[in-house]
Amino acid sequence: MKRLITTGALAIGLMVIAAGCTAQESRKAASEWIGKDRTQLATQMGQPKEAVPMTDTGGEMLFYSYEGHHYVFETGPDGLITSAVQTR
Amino acid sequence: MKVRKFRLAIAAALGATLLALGPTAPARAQSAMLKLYVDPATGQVFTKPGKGRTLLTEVPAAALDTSAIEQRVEQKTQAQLDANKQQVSQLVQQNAQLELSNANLERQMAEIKPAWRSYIDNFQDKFRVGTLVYGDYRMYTHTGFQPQELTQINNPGPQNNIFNSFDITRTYLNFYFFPTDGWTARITPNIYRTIGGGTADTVGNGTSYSSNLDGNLGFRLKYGYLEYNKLFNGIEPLKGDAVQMGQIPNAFVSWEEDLYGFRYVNLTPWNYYSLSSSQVGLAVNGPIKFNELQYADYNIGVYDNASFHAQEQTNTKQVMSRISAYPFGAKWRFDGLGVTWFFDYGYGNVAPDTVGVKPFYQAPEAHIMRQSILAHYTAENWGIIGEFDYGHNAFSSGNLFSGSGPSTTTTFTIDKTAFSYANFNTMTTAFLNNGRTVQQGFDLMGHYHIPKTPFTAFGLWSLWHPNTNVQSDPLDFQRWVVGVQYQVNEYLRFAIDNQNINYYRGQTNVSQQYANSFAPGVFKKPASGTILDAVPVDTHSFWINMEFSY
Repeated sequence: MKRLITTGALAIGLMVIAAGCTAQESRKAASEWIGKDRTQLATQMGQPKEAVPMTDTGGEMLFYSYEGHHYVFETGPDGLITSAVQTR
Repeated sequence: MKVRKFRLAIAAALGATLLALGPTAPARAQSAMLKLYVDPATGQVFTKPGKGRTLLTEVPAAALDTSAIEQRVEQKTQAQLDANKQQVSQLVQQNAQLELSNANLERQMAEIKPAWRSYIDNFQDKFRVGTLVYGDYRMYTHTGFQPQELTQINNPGPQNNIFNSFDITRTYLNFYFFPTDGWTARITPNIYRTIGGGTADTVGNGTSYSSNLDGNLGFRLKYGYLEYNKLFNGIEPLKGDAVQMGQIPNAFVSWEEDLYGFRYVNLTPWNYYSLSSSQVGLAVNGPIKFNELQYADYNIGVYDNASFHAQEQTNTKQVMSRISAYPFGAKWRFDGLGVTWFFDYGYGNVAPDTVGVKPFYQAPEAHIMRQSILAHYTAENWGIIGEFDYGHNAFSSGNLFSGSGPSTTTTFTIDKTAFSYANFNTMTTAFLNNGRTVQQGFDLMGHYHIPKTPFTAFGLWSLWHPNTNVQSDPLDFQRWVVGVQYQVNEYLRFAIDNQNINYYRGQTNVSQQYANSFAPGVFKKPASGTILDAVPVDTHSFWINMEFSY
């Protein structure tokens, strides 16, 4: 039983570390888009599945599905991407 | 005499030769000296002594070495030549440098552009024009008195079923100017429907020009402000937070519109009840981040008490604050679980020397307070918002009837019975404009994007108590909106939806005396009558909404 608990704890620990690393990698991969124009995004990923104008910032929130992954981008008033996250 | 002169000439010539030979000659002369003798009688010079000859002078033998002299002369000449050569070489070098410098200068001069040219070349990076357009078609199966569903749209009251209309409710022209790093200027004109006609102008004796103010779509300023977002760059968690000055988005409404995501279909709760989305004042706002995750987002501002479409009259100001916390850290703006608190405190927009009159006295200058507590969860393809609202003097009869309200001057006949909304309107002012009202509301909003389709289902439900001090308030209502959105492309989306106001209390009469207990004298003595059918009729409508954003 003790051995089972130890193995389980180790497995959970490894999963958390792996998930953390994956999330970090996902953020890094998507963050390459920061500073680029939204038209470049449309050229590569096509149309977003949802686009919500941000009335206070003048930017937009863009939700994308592309090659099996999901992304959320936010643009500033100048049309440049200010944040980029791969959610799945 | 002649000989003497001759001797002197020879001595001078020899002396000059010695001087010309320089300092090396004496050294050599020490080794070998040539003695010259002269016969004074004949003036002849001899190299050997003899009879009648006297020593004329002694000359160093080396000084008479012609090859040495030639060599030294050659050396001196060569040195002079070398010096000249070097000088010429230096001059050539200097000339080359000058030529290079001239060429550089010419190139720089050619590259220098006038300031306007630089401005034009970088114009596209310093300026952006965008637009945001809302349009709709609406059809009411049941019309009634109610607040505006969207900005500056109106509908006829009860008994006008199947009223329908095409509308344009927003045409932002967004002008953004980025003059220097960190600074942004925004100018956003927007349309609005003008309501209420002026009187006709009389020209001369028999001519009249009718007023053209009523019903036009006019333009007014929605946003006009300066923003600086480098002030907190020295504090890493606040990096990018901004200071805004001018006619700016207030602390709450615009933020909630972004969170909800369907502003083009319907207004968010406080915006629907009474609070404008834009205010004139000063604010600071932005996220608080640690390790690239957002744990909080805030907006604190001081504004005029007047809304952006009114003139400030008070000697006080209005304060608003919103603080959103994301306990698990948000990877993007609204990501995950968030809890938000909004607080607003201000005063009615009246001049300080206003003298209250019966029956409301000083109520117009009473304080106005609004609060909201929200719990919200936003995922990449769905979101849900639960909201509790609480207010003081934050919902007047003007707010309740902003979309459609009762006429106080007309009487009409239903089933041969004369009828008027005058008493209903007076009751409403007594309940809502007395300066001691308390509001309470509950709201639920959300959306769900249907996977692998361009469709998103959305909805809103609100329960609103305009004044909790009124028992079984006939003005209590529920509002609900349901619809489906179709995202055509990144610039265009449509929605089909159903919007409803349900005054859910059972129909009842209200005594004038009860209304007078909120505003003494609002019904004149003896105030023994009743307000018949005090619960307004429900409103039901179908909509097609459109948003174009670029």
